[in-house]
Amino acid sequence: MSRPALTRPLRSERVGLAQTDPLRWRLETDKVGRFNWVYIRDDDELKRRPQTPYEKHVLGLETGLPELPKAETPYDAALNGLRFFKELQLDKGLWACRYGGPMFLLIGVVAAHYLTKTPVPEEWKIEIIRYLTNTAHPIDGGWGLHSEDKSTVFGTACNYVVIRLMGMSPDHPVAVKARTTLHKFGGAVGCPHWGKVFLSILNLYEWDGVNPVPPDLWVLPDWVPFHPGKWWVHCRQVYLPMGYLYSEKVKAPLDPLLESLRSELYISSYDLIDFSKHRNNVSEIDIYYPHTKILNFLNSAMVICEKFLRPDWLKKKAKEVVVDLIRKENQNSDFLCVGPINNVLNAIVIFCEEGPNSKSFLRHKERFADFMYMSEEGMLMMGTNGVQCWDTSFALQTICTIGAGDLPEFRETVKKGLEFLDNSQFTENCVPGSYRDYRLGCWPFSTKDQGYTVSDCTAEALKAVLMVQKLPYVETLVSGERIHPAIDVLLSLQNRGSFSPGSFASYEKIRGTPLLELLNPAEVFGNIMVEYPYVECSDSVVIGLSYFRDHSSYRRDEVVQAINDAVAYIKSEQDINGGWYGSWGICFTYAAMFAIEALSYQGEVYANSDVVRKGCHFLAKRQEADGGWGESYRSCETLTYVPHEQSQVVNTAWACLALMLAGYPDVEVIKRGIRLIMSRQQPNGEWKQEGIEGVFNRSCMIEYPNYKFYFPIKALGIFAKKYPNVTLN
Amino acid sequence: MGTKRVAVITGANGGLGYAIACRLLDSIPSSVPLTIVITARHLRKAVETISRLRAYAKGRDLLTFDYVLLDLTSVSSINEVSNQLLSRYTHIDYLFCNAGGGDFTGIDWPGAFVEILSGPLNALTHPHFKVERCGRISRDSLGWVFQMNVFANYFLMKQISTLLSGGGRVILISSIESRIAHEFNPEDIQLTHSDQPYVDSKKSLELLHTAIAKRWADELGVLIYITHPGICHTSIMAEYLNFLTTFGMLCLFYIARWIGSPWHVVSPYNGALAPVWAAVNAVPEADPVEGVTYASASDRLGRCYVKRTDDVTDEDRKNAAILLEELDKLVQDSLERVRLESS
Repeated sequence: MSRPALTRPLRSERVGLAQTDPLRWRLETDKVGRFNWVYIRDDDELKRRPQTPYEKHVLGLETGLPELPKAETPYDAALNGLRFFKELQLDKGLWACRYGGPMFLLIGVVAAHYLTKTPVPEEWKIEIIRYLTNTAHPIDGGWGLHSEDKSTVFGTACNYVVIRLMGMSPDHPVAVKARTTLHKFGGAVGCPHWGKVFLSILNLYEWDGVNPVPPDLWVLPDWVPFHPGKWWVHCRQVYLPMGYLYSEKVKAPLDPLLESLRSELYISSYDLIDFSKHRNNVSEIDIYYPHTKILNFLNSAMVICEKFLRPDWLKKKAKEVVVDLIRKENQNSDFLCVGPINNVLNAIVIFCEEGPNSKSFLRHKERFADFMYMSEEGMLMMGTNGVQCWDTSFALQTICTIGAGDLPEFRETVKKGLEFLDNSQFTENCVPGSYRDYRLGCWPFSTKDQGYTVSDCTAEALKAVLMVQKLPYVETLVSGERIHPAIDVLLSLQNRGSFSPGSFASYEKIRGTPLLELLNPAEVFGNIMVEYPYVECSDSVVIGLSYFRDHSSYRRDEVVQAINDAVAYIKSEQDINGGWYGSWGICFTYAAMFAIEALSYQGEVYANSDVVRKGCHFLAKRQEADGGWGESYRSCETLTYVPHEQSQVVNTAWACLALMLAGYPDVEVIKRGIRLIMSRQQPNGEWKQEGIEGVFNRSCMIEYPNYKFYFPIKALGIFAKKYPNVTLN
Repeated sequence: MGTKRVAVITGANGGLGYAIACRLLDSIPSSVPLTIVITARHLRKAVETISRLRAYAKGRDLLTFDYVLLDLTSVSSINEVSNQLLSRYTHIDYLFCNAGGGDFTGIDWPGAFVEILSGPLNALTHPHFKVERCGRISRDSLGWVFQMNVFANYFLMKQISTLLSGGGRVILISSIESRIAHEFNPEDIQLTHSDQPYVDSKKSLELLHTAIAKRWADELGVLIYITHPGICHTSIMAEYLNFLTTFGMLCLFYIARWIGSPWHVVSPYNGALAPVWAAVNAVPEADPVEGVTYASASDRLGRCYVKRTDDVTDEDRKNAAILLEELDKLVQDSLERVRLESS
């Protein structure tokens, strides 16, 4: 299950795999934070462009950053941390992030290259194989849904195909081991739905063994309660191109390599498999959210309809509508799309519709690289095109909160960070008819190009901008007029009426009933069909709006009302033991920090609020013997607090922040946490990578490597400010 | 506030395993911090079980859940689970070896009628009409039923013995049906030739207990109790029963209890009495680990109690030694297999 920490030598070295020269990799970026890892072959250029500390850091090389004077106090430790962290800032003002974790993404980009006959750069091939070798399960050699998961059919089948298409021989021990495990699971027929789709695209599975993804739903009038326009954006944008590919039965032409793979993936001969019997064959190992009976019934009905009842005009009409929406998604996101899955699926659709040399497809090809990230373990594909704005917002907030913004050594860092956020604010809305809300004035999670705002990202960026612009030496880049549209959108995103009134969801307001979850076909994720209310998103919006409320009178009454309603929602979400379930970070410590910060902005603290008191007791009871907190990713899966094997710096920082913001009276508890954070700090100010930090859809974990920097720094800095006279020893 | 206790329950998603968890929650005061680690074969079942148990324990604070995914028919799975437990916990107070199963093919209905009509009490206590398949071999090339019900438990206990030592308790779950087991056959320890491997494996489990209970208590301070749940309605035969036959079965169970069978405790919760009592309440001085089986029993009115039986024979002790020798050999083989797999 849980994989061991990175140990040297890496497995790829032990089995003698080829490797590119880490000294030749550079991370290129532009002013809106595009990530593009390039491999420099030319020696002169190599000299012209020395590696930055960040590049060295993420490639596992010596950063050459100096050892700092030993920190005696939390404040010194915070500054040491910040001194290290500021060196990781890119020249465009943002912090970069290796956003790995999900292990079902590479198959997408590899399938897209293969089907469209787009050559994969040699250095990618080498490093992708290296990454998968290093992340394979140490015992059975398979892969799971995410990097800490047990091996599953989905992960193992898809990544086996990836290493083979990237050039690994089927006789290589890494391939043999993975294949043995896949066969032990009964072969690739037990793949979940998305896996079946990718295998079908590669002609390694038959479309009649894939449960229907009817594009026809898009033809329904918008008022229909289950119209896909009402689904959660990640869900509808993935099933949109998937519907096209399913309906058109798109598949790569068979070639000797694919022929060979057909014989490797299954335990019986490919030609003897009746794929239509495997629509609902999903390995028990993989299932997180099983089909409902009603979904199985509808699937069977749709298979029959498609064969006998579906008129040609409907198929044609559906295709038109779907292609139009795909073009709009491409236009709204400059071909990045909302995530890596629909990015590659849209590229395949555009290839089929417009051909290999069309302008659109060429742009798609350029965009593949935005998701590919180089690391010391090899090349991975990220869960989005990055975490640029989210990370930069928290970094700036941290610097301001702990009072370091006034120090000369961090002024450039702050100014450049603000410039990045200034460049990242949306300046136009989406094209009409794309089922998108207003975004003008908002901030994205990743980049302006990608074009999607999330309620909490706008709120946290807004707070960061306002905080930074209060510093005397900082020029106001984002004026009041540019803030107001962001407030307008935030207010418009609050859920009203029957769906969790007062709360905030992620990208959009909740548009459809949660009953639609009964039709969740993905098998491996929970809560994907519609938007859901999220405690952390609501917390962030409350925090952002509260900060704004204290600085501006714009739409004051509505802002106050929105805050009050959201606070009522947050309180209602606290469970009986005082915890809040975190949907985007691991897990209860994460949500507690956000919730208590939001409440503290309303003056609700330990001394006067039952809710905050319960929240504090929940945390205090879960402190480990070493003074830290540690939460396992299994918290997210099981919806209960599951301790990690060891205390984690990030969880400890979250818990300490929550307790400090609440004014928890027992300083001893907080002190012990702070001491643990300090004890894990390295001489150069950094903290080493520990367990995975983030999650989505309850079951898939995802990395937030910058959390181990800014949250501990913030916790140390706030401790120093709040308890200036408390000594640690 | 007492010291933290950790309980591991294998197969907690099933009827008896779930009941053991519930009963444990009811038996340990809520002021004691308790961690319940459940094992299930698949994540979904683990998650479902935890959510049901959370609802059952409504509001209980100082209660933590965790899961490990365990497949008893795979030694590498047991090895991985052991490693996970070793890395997550410093001690385990209770290990309930509840998971197991049989290779049943169904119910011999005509046989059942004849048996029930000719001797109802006996038929309902020691039924011969549950049809088992013979000879199934696991992927590890062991007798499938033997591996699940006997060897897996031993291998798991061995692997995590350091967590159990110094006061930990292991609760083995046998079955009343072990009384109709065949004679122990040293030529067929893995029961691949038996026509009732489930029944016989329960007898072997009892022999295993006979072989190790005293030694583990003396040398490691691990108390191993062997218990059985009486006769209750669990999930083990559920797939061969429909609504009507289930209803019929329950009626017969109540009738048997009323006639005077002490074993028809009927509900899994009642069945969990002896296992949980052995873990939480048994006092080693008064309730010896060796030579006694502790079973859940019920009087006519459904009042449950723990009933002891002590019928270990010299023959059993001799056979136990033979079995243990074979099990220890299999442990060595398994460790070697795991070592090869992970290299």
